[in-house]
Amino acid sequence: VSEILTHNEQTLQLREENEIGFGEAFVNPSMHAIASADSNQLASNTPIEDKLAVSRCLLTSGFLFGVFDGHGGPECSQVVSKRLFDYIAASLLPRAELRRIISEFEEGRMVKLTKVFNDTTEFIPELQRIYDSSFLKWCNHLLNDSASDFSMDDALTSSFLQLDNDISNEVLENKNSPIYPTLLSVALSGSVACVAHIDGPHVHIANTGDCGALIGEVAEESHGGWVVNRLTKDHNWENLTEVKRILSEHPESERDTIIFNQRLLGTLMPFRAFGDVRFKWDRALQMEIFQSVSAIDMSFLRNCHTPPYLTAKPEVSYHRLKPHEKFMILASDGLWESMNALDIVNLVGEYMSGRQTLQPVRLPRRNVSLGEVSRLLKKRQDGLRLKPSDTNASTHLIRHCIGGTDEGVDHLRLSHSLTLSPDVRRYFRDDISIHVIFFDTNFLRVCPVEL
Amino acid sequence: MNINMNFNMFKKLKLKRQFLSLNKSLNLSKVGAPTVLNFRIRKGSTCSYLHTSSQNYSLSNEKQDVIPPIPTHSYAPYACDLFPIDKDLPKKVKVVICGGGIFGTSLAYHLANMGWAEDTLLIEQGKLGGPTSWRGSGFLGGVKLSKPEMDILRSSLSLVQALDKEGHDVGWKKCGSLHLARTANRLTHFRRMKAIAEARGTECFMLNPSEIESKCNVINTSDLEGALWVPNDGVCDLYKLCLTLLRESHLKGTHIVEDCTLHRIINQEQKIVAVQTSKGLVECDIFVNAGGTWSRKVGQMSEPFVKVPIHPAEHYYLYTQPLEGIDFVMPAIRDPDGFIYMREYNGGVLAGTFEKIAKPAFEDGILPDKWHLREQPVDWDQFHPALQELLHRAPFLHSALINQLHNSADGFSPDSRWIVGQVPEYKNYFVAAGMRSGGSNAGTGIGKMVAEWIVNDYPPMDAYELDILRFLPAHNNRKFLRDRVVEVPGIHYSNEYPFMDFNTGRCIRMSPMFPKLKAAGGVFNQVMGYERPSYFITDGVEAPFRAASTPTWTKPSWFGYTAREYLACRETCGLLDYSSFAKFDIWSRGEEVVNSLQNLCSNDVDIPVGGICHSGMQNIKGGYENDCSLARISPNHYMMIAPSIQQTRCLTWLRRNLPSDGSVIISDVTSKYTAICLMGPKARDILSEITSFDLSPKAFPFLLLQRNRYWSCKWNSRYELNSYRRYALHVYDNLIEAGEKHGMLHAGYYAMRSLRVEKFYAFWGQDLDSSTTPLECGRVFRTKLDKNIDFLGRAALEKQKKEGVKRLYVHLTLEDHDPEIDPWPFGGEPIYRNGKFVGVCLGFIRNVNSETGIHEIVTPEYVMDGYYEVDVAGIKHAANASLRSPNLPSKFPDITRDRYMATRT
Repeated sequence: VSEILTHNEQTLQLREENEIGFGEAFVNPSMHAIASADSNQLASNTPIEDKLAVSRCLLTSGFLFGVFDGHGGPECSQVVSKRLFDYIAASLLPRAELRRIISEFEEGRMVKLTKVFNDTTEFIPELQRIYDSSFLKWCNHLLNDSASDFSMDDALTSSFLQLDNDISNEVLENKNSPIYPTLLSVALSGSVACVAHIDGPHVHIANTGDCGALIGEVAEESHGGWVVNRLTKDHNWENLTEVKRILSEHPESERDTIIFNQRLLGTLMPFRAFGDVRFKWDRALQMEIFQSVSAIDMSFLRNCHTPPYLTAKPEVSYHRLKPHEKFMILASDGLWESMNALDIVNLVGEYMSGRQTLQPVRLPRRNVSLGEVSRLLKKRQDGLRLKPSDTNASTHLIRHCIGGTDEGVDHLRLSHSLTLSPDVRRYFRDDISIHVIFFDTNFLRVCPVEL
Repeated sequence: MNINMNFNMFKKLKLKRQFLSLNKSLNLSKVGAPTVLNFRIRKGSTCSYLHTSSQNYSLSNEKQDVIPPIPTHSYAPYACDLFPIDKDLPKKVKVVICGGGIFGTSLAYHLANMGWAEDTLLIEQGKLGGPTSWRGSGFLGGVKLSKPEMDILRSSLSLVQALDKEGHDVGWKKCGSLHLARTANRLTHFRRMKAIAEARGTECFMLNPSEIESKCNVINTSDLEGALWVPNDGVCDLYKLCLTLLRESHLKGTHIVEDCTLHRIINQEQKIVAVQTSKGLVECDIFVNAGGTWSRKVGQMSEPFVKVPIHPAEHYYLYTQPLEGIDFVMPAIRDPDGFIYMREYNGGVLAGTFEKIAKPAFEDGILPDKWHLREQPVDWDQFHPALQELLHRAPFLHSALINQLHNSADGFSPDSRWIVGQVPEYKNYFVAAGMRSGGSNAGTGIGKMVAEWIVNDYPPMDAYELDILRFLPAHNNRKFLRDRVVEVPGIHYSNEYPFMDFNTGRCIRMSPMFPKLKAAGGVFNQVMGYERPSYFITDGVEAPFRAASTPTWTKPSWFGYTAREYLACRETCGLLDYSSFAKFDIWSRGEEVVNSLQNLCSNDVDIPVGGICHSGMQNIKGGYENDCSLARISPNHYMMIAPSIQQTRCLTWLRRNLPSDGSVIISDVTSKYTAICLMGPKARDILSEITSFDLSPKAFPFLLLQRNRYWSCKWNSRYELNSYRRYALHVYDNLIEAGEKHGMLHAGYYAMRSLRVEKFYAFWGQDLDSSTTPLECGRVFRTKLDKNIDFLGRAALEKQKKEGVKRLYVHLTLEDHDPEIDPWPFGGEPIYRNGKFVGVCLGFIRNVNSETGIHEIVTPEYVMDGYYEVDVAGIKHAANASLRSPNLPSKFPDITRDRYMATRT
């Protein structure tokens, strides 16, 4: 009995902490590869610096999922998470559509490009005005862009870069605005991002920094285990290509100082990020800006000789979904640090078979043999045994992430971890944000190749 | 040369035609429109008929006079498409049968056969027949330990055989039934079944695994211990059977009306006088609730309402598509350890389950309006355990293709037995329900039984354990029924261990002493919902609640406890909870109560105030309707104590037979009193410590009543203390305190049962029933046949006294029985006299002339000079017979008074 009680307490605690973030599951009935998506996050920083975003492109087909892990404050990740999807959505529009939208904008009518799920916050009007004007500029730029060939890769990359530029330029252009300190704080803090665009069986992942995405696929039916398919590479010191790239962009003399203590200039973990203008502006500009605002505690980075050291340029990868690929996980490094990818995939895989059993059985077809039915039911029963206590796969992962032991979830450990005081918990874990996107196998099975 | 024939012509022709068996040459093929069926009949003639709205039959040969064959189930048409059923209700009939299920149709058929056709109306809320109606396993036969159940199964079987012989297509196949045993205990169960079935004339064989294979080579026998093979059993097609019964009764003139919903049952002075339906009002003399799953709802249509305690549970059965090479006469297989059954059906397999843990249906108590809506969405997970068992037992099913899995709700009674009989609420209201989906097997025979009951106004056999009077109003509680039904279907296929009890629906009726008895280690069994201690575990650990179970056929695990309690009752003192006994207050202003009871009781009840007497209440045939003790509290006030299980039955009997003018008042006060029994030589010493009464034998002789805060009565060295509930704990605590130094122990029901069996003390419901007379059980001394006072049943008893009895109650002591090893005789074992079957334990001895079959007179001499054997699970043990209570050796012989002998010659 005591076990059940403490278990319930923890569940409640889990929910309480979720209030800062959100827990979500939505089901999309239309013909998409996505069957459902579960999201959740757990704070370590106060306030949480991770952001999660999900939206549907209204004028083009496709869904956008994003995980944003902020650092140096929650501002940058907050702003990026709210703005980036519009930038991307705009970059995907055909010219005619773009033209129509611009003209509507100019007449003062806002056209919604994306439908955002589960976001209740809004920018203050002054900020919104500035952001709208930047966005309009981006649309005009897209319209006038001479490059005629559309490529998803380019669209995503340029959207990322443009947003990063805008964040930095908005500071420079609005020095006299009353919300200047806000703009500056956005630019000074930073955020990595991992965005997935899913349209039919096509998945594009744009990753900047150390969030990550992977796909869980069922291995050959014969042994029925799960296989991990990583879709992103982390941009940090563990990635040799990144290290080489950074070193090559800067003079030999800085070789020992650029990457120091496993961090960029001895300070920053991820090697790519939004914001963080101190890594991007030159010393003079920084001096000028910082002097203008006395309120902000500023310091120059040591060894910052030849900026920019940091870019928001994402690494874009493409993946075509196959029927045996059952789900995708997008998560911040809080998850990847504490669990290995195969364990994560196994957990979600077990969770999935558990969730299937919550539905009543329907026989796959007429003329099915009793032996087949029995096998199907057996599988279901196995699933029922594994039936998780969570109704959300992300919550399930978080529970295991912080309370997991070899024998399963240790409730004591879970409750201990959850009840740590906000001051100390940062030493034990990072913010954790997770999207688990389940694919519709039936759709993927019948999905034509040319699509 | 098809000739359209008017149905009436057809009907006339049919009445004098030769029957033709069609079932084997039946060849189904669709011709033209899907509603037209073609049947090829023997001799090459073709008969096709339409079952659209027209009622014409086309016969290719008008001289060929045939019964239209009944189509197989998947093409099952509605009854109204096969013969014209009445559109309108008659104004007045004798019997209204509500419900056209197997029981309803069988009852109508039997009533028609007994000449009541024109006086019978069968109404059905939906349509009769059709693709989803009258489904069931179609099993016939089987073996039951209980006599009434066995008799009903046999009567169903013989009816179907008779119909088949007459040429009706009822799907009868004499394929035998195979009962598989996976455990040794199950095998012992089967041996007991075989022993009693053979004694009663049903041929059975025990098979070993290789012999099983020779009977049915497609099943897996690797894990089987053995099987029981009943070669003369078989299967029928329930749809065809119902349709045949319905058509036959229709031909005889029974009124049959469908789409007729019952609205209200109208009664006057506890008699049903009419029913109000959606098609109008019908006056009737007798109403029969044949609502099946709906019978509880039908019961609620009268005011006061009739309590039919059944609850629907999901019931699964599976039809496969035809299988290649299936044996047409594959035995009907029951694998009770796997909770499954299967048979061949239309070239495929029909299989089903009585799940160990069933799923209640319509838990909100709201049943659908139309019967076909009792088909529920299929929950494969619920069926999965059964499917695994099926595949395990019959591996060939792995490749069998599913035709359909059905989930139809069926009503189950709270004790898993059928419910039959005359309801306590009304005099002319019959019911049969809770057939456990065993329609063909149960409903057919029960229909016959009820028909005879109605026509003769007297039940053809005693079936107390099936009678609706075995329930209390409390049993009708929906929550209780819902909790219980989870367990009930599985009971059907579980071992019928002795003292069977349920785990759900417990702790409903409890005495104030219950917590104390539980703390004292009480292990309880339920009787009439009342938690009665069976024995006490004296390990000092207070368990939450322990339910008694005896999952064995040999020496039970509780024997040590019971033995201790038994010895306490014999040598020191035992304290027993007697609260479950039914108690009634009967009184009147004047002497009416004495006169009425004198008329009802076979013993003289005009005893001094403060006295107690035992008496039976006899029915017109002299049988025991009730066996009770009457204490005369004041000149015109009696207190009656009756067996626990008689609570409803006894009250009903009295209500029906006491003056209808209300001059004698009876009230059930069972729950008002808590009864404690002190039993044993030290009882008097203990009691005298807490009471000021003079308990010396002189002052408080046998069978005398003393009243104070509690009243007590005594016989032998036994004192029964009945106190108002609010004093019960006080009395109990004082007794425990006083008893401690005398070594008094708690004793349970099992100890009491041993004591009474040993003392040859007959119990109503176990030894006595409504067909037993006092002359047959050594109780003439308890009657007033020697006095000149008339009473109900006197004439029958006097006649019997003159002619001699045809059976005698005997006491048997097994001689070569080793209680450590041999299976125990828990009851129901056949008794053999000089190698001939003469009765069943606990027992009566008959003398059946093996040539004429006539029951001859049984004299004490006949009983005493025989060589007796009792067949306990296949082993015959020699036994000593006696006709009177034995003289038991005692350490404390009570020399001050006569010993009481419960049974005398």
